[in-house]
Amino acid sequence: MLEIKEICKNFGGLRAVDRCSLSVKERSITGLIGPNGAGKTTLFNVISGFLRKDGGEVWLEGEEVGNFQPYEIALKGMVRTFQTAAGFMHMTVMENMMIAPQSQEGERLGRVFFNRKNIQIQEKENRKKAEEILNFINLYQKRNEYVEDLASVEIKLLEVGRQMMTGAKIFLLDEPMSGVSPAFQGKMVKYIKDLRERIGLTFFIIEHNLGFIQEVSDAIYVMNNGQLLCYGTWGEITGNEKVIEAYLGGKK
Amino acid sequence: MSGNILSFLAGTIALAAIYAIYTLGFNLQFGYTDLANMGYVAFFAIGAYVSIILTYSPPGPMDAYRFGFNLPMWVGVIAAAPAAALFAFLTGLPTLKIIKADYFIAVTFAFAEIVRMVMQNEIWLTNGNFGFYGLSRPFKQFFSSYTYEFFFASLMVGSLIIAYLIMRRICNSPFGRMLKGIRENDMACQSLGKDIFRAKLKSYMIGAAFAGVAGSLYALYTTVIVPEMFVPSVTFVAWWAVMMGGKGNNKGAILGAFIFIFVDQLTIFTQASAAYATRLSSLRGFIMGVMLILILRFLPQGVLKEKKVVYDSKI
Repeated sequence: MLEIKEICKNFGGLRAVDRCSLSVKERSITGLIGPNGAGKTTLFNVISGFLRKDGGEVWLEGEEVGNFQPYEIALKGMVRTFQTAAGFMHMTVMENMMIAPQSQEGERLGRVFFNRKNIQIQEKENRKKAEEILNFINLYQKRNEYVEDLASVEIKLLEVGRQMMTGAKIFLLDEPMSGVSPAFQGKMVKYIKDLRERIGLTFFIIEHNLGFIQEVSDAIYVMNNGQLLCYGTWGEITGNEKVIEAYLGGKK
Repeated sequence: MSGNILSFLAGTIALAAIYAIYTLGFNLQFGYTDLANMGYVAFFAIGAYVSIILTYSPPGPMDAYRFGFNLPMWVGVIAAAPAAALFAFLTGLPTLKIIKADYFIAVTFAFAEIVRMVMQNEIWLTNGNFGFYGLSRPFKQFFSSYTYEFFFASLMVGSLIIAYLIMRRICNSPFGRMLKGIRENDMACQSLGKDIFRAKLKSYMIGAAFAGVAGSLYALYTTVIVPEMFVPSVTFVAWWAVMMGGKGNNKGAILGAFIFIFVDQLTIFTQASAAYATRLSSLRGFIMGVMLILILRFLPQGVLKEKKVVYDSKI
């Protein structure tokens, strides 16, 4: 589904991502872990188009999207979240949901003035969908509150809710558990697995919380110093010498 | 005397309505889309000049300017909108692609100064520092000069209502919602699949078009247009009005413009003696500044804060 080949990204003299190749299978939940500064978020930024790559290819469902704009990649069906809980803060929960559907009729000015009927029909459909999703993530009661007044867990959930509104097939989550209480971990795991079962979504997740990654993912990539160390199930990677070295330091 | 006050009041309302249209456009750019336009006055000036060049009488043998098309006034008012939007397009194209706002701020500020330099120096087009005098006003022949003030004020208020209705429809649409999204978090907006460059460019152009129309109406109000009327401080009338009235609230933008013009005109109206007059007019900036500081201290979101969009009715 998502395949990247030999991706490189330099910041001045620093090679932040060094010839990374990996693939994320359809309907999988793939983890990406690694120590701080390993280049995980940089890799995400390259894949999602926010940073220009210095080499390599990004293939999304059989199409090379390596030079696409972030919004074009999102329109191709791959959406991402950000490390810090990001939302449209001074907008209500419902507005946050309603903004998300892609290529809305009402985003075109001609329609706004001369074809309001279609817009209203679409708004109605979107609202119905939004209410279903808000019920699923337990935010329906807060639909008319400003996002800036929500707890950070709720903002994280809303982020996933917004992504669901886009109709995208593959979600890149950058640290979904950061700033979220550990008590919430089980619930987040359940939401993600539920979404995969029910709508057949694919997830690619960066996370520092290893317990969470162990629980949620089918397969895990480990990254260190810009390079991919290994790939495998939780059992496989925890037995890998190189991974232990990256996390705990090598033998003296 | 009371007749004088009334006609002064009518003139003030007309001027306030024109500035309200001007501020509405700025509110779309800044209040909704977070485009910190430091040269907004440029579009006001372009609107004024374009409409005048289209409607002014053709040059005589002694005139320095080359063009005057003698078209009807409404043509000038309508043409001001696309003319201003065109220049917004040209300045927005290189600056809005860049996510960082610094470039946009610098370019818009410089652009407004360039426009003013052109107005001063390209005499063949703008008649230079002399500008255009004795512009005719719409439907003037049907009224006595006293009643005309009231007619003109209602004409301006009517234009403001139309401008407000257009702006309200834009802001309440999914397009307006997308603009707010850009203001709140442009990265998140892109990651949902919004072409934020195009959206920002459209917002910038529509805002400029409003300033252009306001500029053409302003020319009808003053009947005189000289480059000096379009100094950078006019940009900050819009800033002041939006901050005062309420960022992201169209009614607030209108209110802010009315407060500005009324306070401004009051300092003119209360001029008793000549000595007192100069003192008052130099105090004007001070009064405006203190008012802005007070509002930001006590009502940081402005007099009318942004309206919450509530989804409560049954689908």
